[in-house]
Amino acid sequence: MIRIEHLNKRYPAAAESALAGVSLHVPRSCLFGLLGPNGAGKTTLMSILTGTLSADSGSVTIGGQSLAESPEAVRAMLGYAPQELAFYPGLTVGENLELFACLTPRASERTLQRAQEVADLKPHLGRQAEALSGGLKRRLNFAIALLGEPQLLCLDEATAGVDPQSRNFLIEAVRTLAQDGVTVLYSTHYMEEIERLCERAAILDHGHIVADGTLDALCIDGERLEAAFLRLTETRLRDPA
Amino acid sequence: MQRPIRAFVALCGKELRLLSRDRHGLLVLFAVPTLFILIMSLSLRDAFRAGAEFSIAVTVIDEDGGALSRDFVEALLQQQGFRPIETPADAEVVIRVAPGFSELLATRHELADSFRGGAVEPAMLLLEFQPSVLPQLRAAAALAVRQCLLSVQSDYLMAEVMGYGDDEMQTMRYLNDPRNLPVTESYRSAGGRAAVTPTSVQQNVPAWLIFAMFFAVIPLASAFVVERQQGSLLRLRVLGVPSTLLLASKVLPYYVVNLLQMIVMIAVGVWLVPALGGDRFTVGQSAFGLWLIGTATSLAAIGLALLVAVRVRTTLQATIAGGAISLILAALGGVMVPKLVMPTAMQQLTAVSPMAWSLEGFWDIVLRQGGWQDALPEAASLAGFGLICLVLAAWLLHRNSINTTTTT
Repeated sequence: MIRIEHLNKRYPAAAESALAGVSLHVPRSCLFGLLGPNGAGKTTLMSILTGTLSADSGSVTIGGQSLAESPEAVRAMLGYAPQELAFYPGLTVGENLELFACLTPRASERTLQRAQEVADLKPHLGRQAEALSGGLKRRLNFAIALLGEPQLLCLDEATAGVDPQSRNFLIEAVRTLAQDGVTVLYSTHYMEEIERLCERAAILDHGHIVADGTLDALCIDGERLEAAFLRLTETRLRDPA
Repeated sequence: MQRPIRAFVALCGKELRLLSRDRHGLLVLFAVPTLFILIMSLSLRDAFRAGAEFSIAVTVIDEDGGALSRDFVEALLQQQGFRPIETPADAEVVIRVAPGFSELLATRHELADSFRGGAVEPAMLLLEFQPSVLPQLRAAAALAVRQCLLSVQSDYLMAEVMGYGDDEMQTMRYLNDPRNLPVTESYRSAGGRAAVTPTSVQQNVPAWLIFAMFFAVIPLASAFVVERQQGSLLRLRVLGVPSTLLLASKVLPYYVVNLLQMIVMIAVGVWLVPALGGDRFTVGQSAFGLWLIGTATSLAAIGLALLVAVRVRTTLQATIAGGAISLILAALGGVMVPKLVMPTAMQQLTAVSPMAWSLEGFWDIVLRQGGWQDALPEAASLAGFGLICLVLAAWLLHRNSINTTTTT
């Protein structure tokens, strides 16, 4: 579903490349984990995949369509829930969903209803988004990404700051979507979520893919994913310079 | 409906919904300028009136007590503008008639040659003003006292020295009264129509309306910062909403708000200010001209607001930068201090402020009674300024949307 070849990106005035020759293949209908310490380049990669940032070189193909040549076609396949709660707090849940449905390619009344069901938002449509609990806000953020019935769903820290019940709900919802054939690129710092959800994962560090494969292949001698992650990315702190 | 139009309508609706729920924003856009119009129109009412229409609290102390001093005091207190009060401490001006006033006035014509030769004439009247009295009011009151003194002196000379009878006295009084001189005054108008007399309300309604339109920079820029910080803007970019559509979806709702501001502020000037004792606002002859200059002002204000919005990073910056820019443009543009009381150099400096262009355009319509053609140069300047700001904002937004994601 996603094929990334030799992707490079360096920000102006940055000492290091944010992405240095990244190549990655994510099969169709796969739940794929994207891991990395702060500053590793995860958001840069997500931004390039979602078309909000241009790469310096390399290529990205999504669903057989080149991102550079057919951005509109790629956009129509894509759903994205950013790390930020990307909706309007001053609007109600229903108003937010209707607004983004108007802006989302391929969204319709049917997909709007479906997104409400998947995120269990129907009882909360009249509530102001600002007043929602952390879990409900994450569910709204997630539901907006589903409005175009995407073939590829990019989730960035989809469960950050939510209670265990909401996290469990979101993980199960993502699993259901994957079972329905949606490819999911799941970026998080919670290793147990990757262990619970994903078949494959890649670890990004200093702009390089340091590991890529099934979870069994990443973990040596039955070690936990967190131990494998620290082994591959080292334990020193990643404070920004 | 086609997708871009549907998206535009949805984004405009979102903007209006958010604005209608933003109580502080509405307060800034409507209540604050209304209050400014009321306060400034009522408090500056007398400052815009001609000198003859002054009003000042006066205590007259007659230390002479002679016939001529009594005539003078009586004539003075009959003058319009002098409000006699008993306690000198509360008076804005205390007028002391010095001992010897009547004697000096009766013999002054005999001593005129020696005064012309350099002899010092003793002061007969002492005018003691409170420091809080405005210079214009002081000048008007002093002029009225001098005119009254001349009148009493003239009457004495005609009756006692020249021996005029009643008819001749009446004739000379008529001829000596400055109000009867064959001079007329009027304000220049744009066309053949008579211009409206400038009043505090004619100055303040357009001035604070313009200020209110430009003050939209604060809610607009703040909302834009929140959109960016919350990630909504990022989501719109992912969905392929072009920068131009995004900006256009802000221009239309705020244009509607600006038109509403115009209607409300004009209504305040026409009905509320007179109800509270001020002058009535006169809207002029050209509704289209008002709409034209209002629309051009709105375009300039929204363009500037969007330019600020794409540059600032926090709501605090939006509030400080937006507020400071509006206040500086207002101070320079003759909104806070009327241009007509500024010195010439400062009046020339107003030309740098779009608020001054707008004020001139409004005055073309509401003061000079001109048509829309008279406001066209100012409207064109404002529209040009607004378009340049919009193009810059679109370019900056587009540039910022490329290669500025922080790496995580």
